[in-house]
Amino acid sequence: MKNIRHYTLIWLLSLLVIGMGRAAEKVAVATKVSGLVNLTKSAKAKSKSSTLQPGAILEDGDFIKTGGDGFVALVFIDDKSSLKIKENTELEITGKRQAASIAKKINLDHGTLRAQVTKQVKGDFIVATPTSVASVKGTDFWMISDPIQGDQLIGLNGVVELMNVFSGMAMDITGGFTGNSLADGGLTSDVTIPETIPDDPDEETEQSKKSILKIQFQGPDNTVKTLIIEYQ
Amino acid sequence: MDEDLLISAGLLVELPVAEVTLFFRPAHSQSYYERRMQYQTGEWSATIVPGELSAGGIEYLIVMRTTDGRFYATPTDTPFETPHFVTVKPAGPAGRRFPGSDKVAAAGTVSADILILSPQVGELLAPEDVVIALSLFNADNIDTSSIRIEVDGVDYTDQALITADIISLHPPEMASGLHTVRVYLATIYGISVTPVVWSFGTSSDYVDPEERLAYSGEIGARIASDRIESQVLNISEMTAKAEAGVSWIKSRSSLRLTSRESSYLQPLNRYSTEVEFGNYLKIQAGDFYPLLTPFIMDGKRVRGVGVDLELKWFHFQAVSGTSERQVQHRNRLDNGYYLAGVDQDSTGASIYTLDRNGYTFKRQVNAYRLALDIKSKYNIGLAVLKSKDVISSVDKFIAGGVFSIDSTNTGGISTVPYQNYTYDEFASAISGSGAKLNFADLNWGGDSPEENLVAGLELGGAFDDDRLRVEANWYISLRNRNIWEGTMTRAQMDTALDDSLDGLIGVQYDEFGLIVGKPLMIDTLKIFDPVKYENIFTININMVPLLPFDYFAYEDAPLRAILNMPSTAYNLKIRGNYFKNNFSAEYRQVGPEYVSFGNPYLTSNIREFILADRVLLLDNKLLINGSYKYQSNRILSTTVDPYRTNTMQANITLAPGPDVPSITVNFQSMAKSNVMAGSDTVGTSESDVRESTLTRNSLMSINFPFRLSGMTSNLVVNRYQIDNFDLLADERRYDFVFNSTDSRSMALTLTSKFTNIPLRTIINLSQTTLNAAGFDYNWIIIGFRGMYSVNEDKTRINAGLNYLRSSGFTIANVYNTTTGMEYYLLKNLLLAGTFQFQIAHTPSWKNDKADNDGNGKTDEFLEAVKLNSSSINLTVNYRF
Repeated sequence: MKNIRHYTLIWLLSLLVIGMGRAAEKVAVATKVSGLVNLTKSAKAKSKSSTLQPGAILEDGDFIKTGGDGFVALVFIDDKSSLKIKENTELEITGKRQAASIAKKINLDHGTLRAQVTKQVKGDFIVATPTSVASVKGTDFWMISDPIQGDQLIGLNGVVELMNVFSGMAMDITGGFTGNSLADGGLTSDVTIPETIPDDPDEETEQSKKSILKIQFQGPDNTVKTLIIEYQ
Repeated sequence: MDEDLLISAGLLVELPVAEVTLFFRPAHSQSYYERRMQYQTGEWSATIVPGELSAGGIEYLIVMRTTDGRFYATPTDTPFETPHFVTVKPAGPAGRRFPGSDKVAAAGTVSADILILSPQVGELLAPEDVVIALSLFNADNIDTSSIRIEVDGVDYTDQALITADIISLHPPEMASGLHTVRVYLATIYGISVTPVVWSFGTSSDYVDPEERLAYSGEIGARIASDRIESQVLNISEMTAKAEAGVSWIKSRSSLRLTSRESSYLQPLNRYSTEVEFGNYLKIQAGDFYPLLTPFIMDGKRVRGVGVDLELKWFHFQAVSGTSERQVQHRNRLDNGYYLAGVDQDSTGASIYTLDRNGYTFKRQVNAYRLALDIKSKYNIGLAVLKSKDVISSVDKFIAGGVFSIDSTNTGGISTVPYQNYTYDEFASAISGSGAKLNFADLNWGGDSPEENLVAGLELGGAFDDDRLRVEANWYISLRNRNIWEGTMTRAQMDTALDDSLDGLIGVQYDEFGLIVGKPLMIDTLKIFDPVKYENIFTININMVPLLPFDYFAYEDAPLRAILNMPSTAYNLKIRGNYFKNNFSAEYRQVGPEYVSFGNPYLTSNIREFILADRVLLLDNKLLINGSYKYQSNRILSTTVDPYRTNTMQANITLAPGPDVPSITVNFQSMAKSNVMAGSDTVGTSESDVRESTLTRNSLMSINFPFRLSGMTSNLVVNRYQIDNFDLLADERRYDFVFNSTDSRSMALTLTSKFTNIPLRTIINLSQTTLNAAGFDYNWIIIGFRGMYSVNEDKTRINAGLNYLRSSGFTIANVYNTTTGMEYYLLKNLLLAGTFQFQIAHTPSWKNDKADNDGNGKTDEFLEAVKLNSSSINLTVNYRF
């Protein structure tokens, strides 16, 4: 009996030590950073924040805060789903490893983000705000969150299930529609007004996609040659 | 798949070729392999070995570089995105295959599931924006120490972040041109992995999409016709919006023109333009709704200019414009001029007194707010608003303005015929009759011009890593209800509170010249001269309040007198976020005479104390809200029968997650009393004006999502109940009537979306029972609405039918139907129309022997049926 207690104690202590030493799981990489963007490694640990650098690897529990001119684009490592985070936004990135994917949950305190999500197993990509929970099934959408006014989810493609946490009401938001989840529990959807779609600093417009892209080459005789590629 | 694939390319024209490269990949995979092509007998060729082939086919492209730096590619258009394709047939039955042998390349390498995260194949970037990233998430057994990453042949491994899951490299700024990344890896068993190779471009000419001019907009038109009973309202409107800009400057403009616009009303057309310079400076022009602080300016439309400059430690806002435009007169009889009366002078001649009304002065508004942020922890701000009616904006003589002369306004004394006149017609009529006209230049019978000055201070602080916030605001307002006669002089001030011009304010004398009571006794020479400050505020006898604080109360209790100044508003608020609790406590008071023309929606004469807490538990799945609010109007000690209200509210929501039922329960209890009151005499009878009531309000809502074959649905069940109690019922007289309305409501709403057909439906059923003054009223509503889209969502059709049955004094059935269609004529051109009509059926009208529809017949076939309302709405909208 004494031995059982002894081994149980060792086992529990081992679990504790293993748990303490377990490194946070790596979930994404920052592919573009502009303006003021702060990263707090593992929000739960409340460590000090530092400036987020392009190429930085993001882990489960990392907290990102963008300033008035800040912008971040990040890509998740399991399926290449991407997140674009605009100015004046605060969010926590969490990701739990599953067999061949990462169950992602973005805790958006406030601000604006765009999620371009590769088709997911249901519930594996969630954006949670103080007002709403958006369960993503493979889509492209903007989420604009304000803890006081509520949230606006602008669907660009695919389907997002938007649930208001105050009333428990839920509805599917598809491309071309905007879901409004209000702090009073209300949940409505309407046709998207194009002007309400935030600018994506990282995306070429349809018009710009038709632009001519130029790459300049300088030869040994200092002559400059230009490679012209037309994108449709 | 067991044979080499030879790819060759030749030239039909002479070109100075320096290098030809073959890029290939298994169809639809992320990255390309790269192989230099060899020149032999007039063509360039390269071989793809069987281990590099894929059963799904091979995609390839060829890029040729000439000695003068030009690039040519095949395919010519978007070669990396739309490469050539070669079908690969599986190997025949001959030959022996071993498990896993398809993963081993001919050169003794194995393939691995490596995902290129950034940059994309063929992507063009600014030279400084390059981040190279690959995911090893799904690649097992990679030896991270074996990883080598090269860009254009230069080894950057030392600069890369390499983990078991990710390779990330942010290289120094790269030269413009085409770049090739090669990543070499090996397994923990020492077997090489097929290198990952792909290319991307950089250009100093690259223009960030954000820096390109982007624009969008919308133009629309709407015509609508609504008919309710015999009233018909036709409206036509045109709207336009446009937005353009680059990252650092953006502009938005909007326009609304409506047929309801009239010079007799405040403007209904809207014009606005907004220019934003980054996140720092915003300039607004036209119609806009500025927000400075709720106590000064919030929710009021202004036509003018607004500036908002926000830096890290400094925030300045300015607004200048008009909140009301001048209206010379209304479009109604006696709403421009009116005859105030007729007298006769000593000669017997009639004197007609004409007056103006129906006008509105132009109201000028200027408001400013300056706030400083100290170390992102404390903030201090000052705000001021001045609003003044422009007296000269309203003309004494106007072109329209028809008024009536009849026996009611002449007292039967008139030398001109009873009829309607314009001013010119009337002046001409009385001049011929020998009568006189009395028409004042100011103090007309309509509204008097007013002025409002508000100023205040705001303080705030954030503590404990922003988890605790404290804010305090204090504002004082001055209002002048009549500035026709401008600022008062010192002599006028002397007699403002008493009748004697003695150089002292507030001193009254008895018939013996002795001072009466406890006088205010302020020497007019010792106080400021109002005339010197008339550009800031018009000081005269019409000021409200005349003195901002109670002078006598100040002598007794200075602090209390200042806090309860009737023209002040203030609040103190603490907000915190600890242990999953989001709580706030606020004390707020708005004096009975506090007014800001910038926020007409602010409730005055109210004191309130609010406590609220919100806690999120179970990973935000369980929400508990609780609040307590005390309200009273007992700000001034002189308030008669002050009321007080205590409201408690609790809310619990359990929402486990999407596709799972959720429940919300809400309970509110509100006790209101004015127990200081007694009875009041109305005419000859005595009325009990005491109030002590309790109102209980409860709501339960269950949301039940479910899926059936071919359909996803959501069922919402709501139950709502309000009960009122008179807590003084036992003390009332038998004939006292307690005015209250109790209600109970039950509602079911089922929304469904069909997966196989583009149909959405909403079905709702509800029953409501009201009890008012002992009578019961019941409503039953049944409704159905469906939306169906066809032609790939280019056409959307919707239709709805509602039935309402009400019973109480009479039974009535109301049928309402709505139909509509949206049709995209072009991709961005939408045509839409809706039509609705409502019919009421009152069975009792069929047998009541009365002509209910006014057609001169009683109880005929359609006597009980009436078209209540109808409307048609057509819109066209184009987006660009």
